[in-house]
Amino acid sequence: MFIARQKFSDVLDVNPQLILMLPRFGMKLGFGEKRIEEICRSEEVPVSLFLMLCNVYTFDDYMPSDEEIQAIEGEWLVRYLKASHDYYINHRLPHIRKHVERIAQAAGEIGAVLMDFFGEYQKEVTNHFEQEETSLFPCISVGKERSVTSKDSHEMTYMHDNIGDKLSDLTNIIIKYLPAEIMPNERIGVWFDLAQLSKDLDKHAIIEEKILIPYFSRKEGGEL
Amino acid sequence: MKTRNIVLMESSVIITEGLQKIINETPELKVQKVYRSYPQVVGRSGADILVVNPKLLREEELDKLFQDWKRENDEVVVLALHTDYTSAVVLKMFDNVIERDDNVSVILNKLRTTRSKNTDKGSTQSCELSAREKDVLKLVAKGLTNKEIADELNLSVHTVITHRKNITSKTNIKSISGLTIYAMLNKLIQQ
Repeated sequence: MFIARQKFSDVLDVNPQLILMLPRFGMKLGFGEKRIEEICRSEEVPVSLFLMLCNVYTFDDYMPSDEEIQAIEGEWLVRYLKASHDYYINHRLPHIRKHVERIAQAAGEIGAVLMDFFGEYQKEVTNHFEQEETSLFPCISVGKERSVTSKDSHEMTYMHDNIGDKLSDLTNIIIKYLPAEIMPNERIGVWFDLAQLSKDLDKHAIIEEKILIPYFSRKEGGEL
Repeated sequence: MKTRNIVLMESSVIITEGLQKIINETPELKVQKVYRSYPQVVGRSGADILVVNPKLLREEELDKLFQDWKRENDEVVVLALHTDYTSAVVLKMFDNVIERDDNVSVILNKLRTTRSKNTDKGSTQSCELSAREKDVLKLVAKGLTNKEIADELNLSVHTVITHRKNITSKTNIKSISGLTIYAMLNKLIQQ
């Protein structure tokens, strides 16, 4: 487990994916040899939440306790999740789309169907994030509270599973089922992007399901 | 409730004693036998669950266990008892992994709820679809419901669902639109 006294550069050696924590918390590069607590303090980011998310991202069997979840700064968590959504929608998916487009162009008739599939996936992800941002996330702000119910939680899990299945289908089709001669290098290249996105989205789903929802429901003595 | 019998294979007394204590306090689970090393022959012991430390097994024994024995005994759940570093590839062969630091409820949960991976339909066997599965897949790709497919092929809905599960486990594709692309790529349907 990572601790606040550790250097962020050491943490990155263990899990390079954690570089994504910085933009999501509005933090900058150029952290030199600073410790986690120093970086967070100078950027006014809550250290405990930052550490919690780094640990969830890195250690599959780590889960914060109920007390730790109740003690987090909810507004910061929502801010983090929104920034993650922005990264997926406006950076990651358009980037992957470019690769898939090149593959589709070389794939003849099946290419159009492949692009439809990707478009459908992209739309589903975008709609799901919008739904969360308009219906669920505002529960954090004073004056806009509503009860977070088990229906919210079930819908969320269902959508996460659905989005995960589609991404896995896309990956399987591109790597295993398209005829071998179609753009092998491009396909191997996009494989890394898809694998990274899939891992990132899995952790994102865990953070929403296992941290955000419990945080909301306990905060208001909800029904969950 | 039927009691499920467990066979433990682990060299450390501390671990087996601890596990036995945890397991035997649970009415539906019972430790039937403990091996300190990997036995020469793992027969039809009547065990429902095998908990084995992978470090006790040599590579060829591991192969034998999963290629031969598990196929013959595919209803037996085989769990890894993960105490020292073992490669992820090896751990993936097992139905589930009990970690050294798991707490009591996690251990019991893994013992109670893990189901045996169906080796016949999984990675060890051919991923070729049967003729019947191809028929079902064609209709899935056309957007028919399970009921409609059942009527069309004169099957029960239950059988259609089983075929669909097998199609997904063989191709690793779950969504209908993904299966449609798969069907096109394999010339089962026209574009």
